[in-house]
Amino acid sequence: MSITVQEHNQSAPPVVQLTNLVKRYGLNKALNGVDLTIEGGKVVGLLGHNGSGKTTMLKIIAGLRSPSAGTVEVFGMAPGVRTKQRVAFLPEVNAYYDWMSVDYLIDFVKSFHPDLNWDRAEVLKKFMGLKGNSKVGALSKGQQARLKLVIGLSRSADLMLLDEPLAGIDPPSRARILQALVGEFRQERQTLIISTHEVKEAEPIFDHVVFLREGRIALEGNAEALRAETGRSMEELFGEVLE
Amino acid sequence: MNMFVSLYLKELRASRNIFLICVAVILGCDIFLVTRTASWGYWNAMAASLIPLVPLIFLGMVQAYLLINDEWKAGTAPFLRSLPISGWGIVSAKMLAAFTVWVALSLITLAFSGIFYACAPWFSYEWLPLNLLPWSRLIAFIVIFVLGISGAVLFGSIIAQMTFLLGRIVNRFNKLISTVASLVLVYVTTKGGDWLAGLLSFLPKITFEAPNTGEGGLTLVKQTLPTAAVFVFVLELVLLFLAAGWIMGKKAES
Repeated sequence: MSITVQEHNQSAPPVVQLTNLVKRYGLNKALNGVDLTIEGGKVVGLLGHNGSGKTTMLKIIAGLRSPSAGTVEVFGMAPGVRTKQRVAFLPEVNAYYDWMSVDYLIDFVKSFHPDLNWDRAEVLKKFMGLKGNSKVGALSKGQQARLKLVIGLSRSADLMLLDEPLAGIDPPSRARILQALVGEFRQERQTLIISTHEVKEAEPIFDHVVFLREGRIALEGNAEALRAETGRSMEELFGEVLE
Repeated sequence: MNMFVSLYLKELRASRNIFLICVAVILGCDIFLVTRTASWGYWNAMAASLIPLVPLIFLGMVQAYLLINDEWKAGTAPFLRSLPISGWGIVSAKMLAAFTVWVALSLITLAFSGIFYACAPWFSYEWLPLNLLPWSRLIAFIVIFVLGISGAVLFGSIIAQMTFLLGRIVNRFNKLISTVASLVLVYVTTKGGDWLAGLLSFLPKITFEAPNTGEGGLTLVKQTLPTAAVFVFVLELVLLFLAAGWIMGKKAES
């Protein structure tokens, strides 16, 4: 099945442009000829099973891994220091220093990203139920997942890359957190690329979806258009396209 | 706060535990040596208090390795590398933090030895006649000695970081590649350095005086240092730094 629905904004370069992207790990191809254009202001769902290449794609966009072949452009530039100023990358695993307190960490991030707003961070800390003096290492897995969101949402990054943001968060809190992602805490014209397995819960927030299977795009398009065209929910499509 | 300063302070904080452990070990050694002044002789015990300066040189190198290894081990490398600072900024912050730890521990060792020396009259010993040495003529030696040791620590630090990063370019056999890379790098930098220094042997030599103990007691003896060796050393240090920063920024996988 191949349905592609893209909406192009001619005035600015796409937020992300991947052209024939290949990433090899030894003999395995994690990404195998991916072409993808993501326009600004969208919430993009990156959907796929484990090993489908979601994390690799996010890391390449974040500038943490280099492609084996093909080109990557973020805001019209190759990933580097300049693109990192405008990107917030929230990895799946806890990526922060255990010895830092929550407030120290926010201050540390602020020294690199002047777009981080302390007032917003305070509101988000309360919203997520985190204390400023708690050590990162003492936080539970769920709290660490919330901390990532506090750090990411406190910034006015143009592009936010979230790798499994709901992992470790208890089911009752997920809807609230997803709403925070796309609701009151989201910056104007901010682009979100969210990789997740939790298709059912995250489906309502996606403007655009990309289904990845074995390093290739199996299906991509506007979420609303795909639903209308196929008569299926994203969860149903997930099962159908990727099985 | 400036990005580099923030990162440097983070690295210093990450070095706190090893620093405190080393201070405790140095202090413990000095206390042990104080109890041995009667059996070993006061000046032997005092001289032994300077011994930690030797392993500290290696600690400076090892600390640079640990600071970078811990990022991958603890899974913080993706966060660190997602910050908008160049690979050279990250490498130099770690190198500088390891260097600072080495300087601080060396100064603490020297300070304890200084106290040991100053306390000699309390144990009924005369101070050594160090004041007979012409300090104005010793300055060149002290400068060259301190710069040489500092350079060795920085060189070791950058080799340590470079070898680790080379192992992170690929996703398999990281440790094997790091080990092989360290052996190759040490071989290439020493052999290549010797060869290049030989080519540049026409450059003038630096002469200085170094203290020496002989039959006439403490005296100053003339020594020479080839400028070519210094030039090659600095060149290798700069090249290794540039390569390590480039790998950290562009090629390492995290």
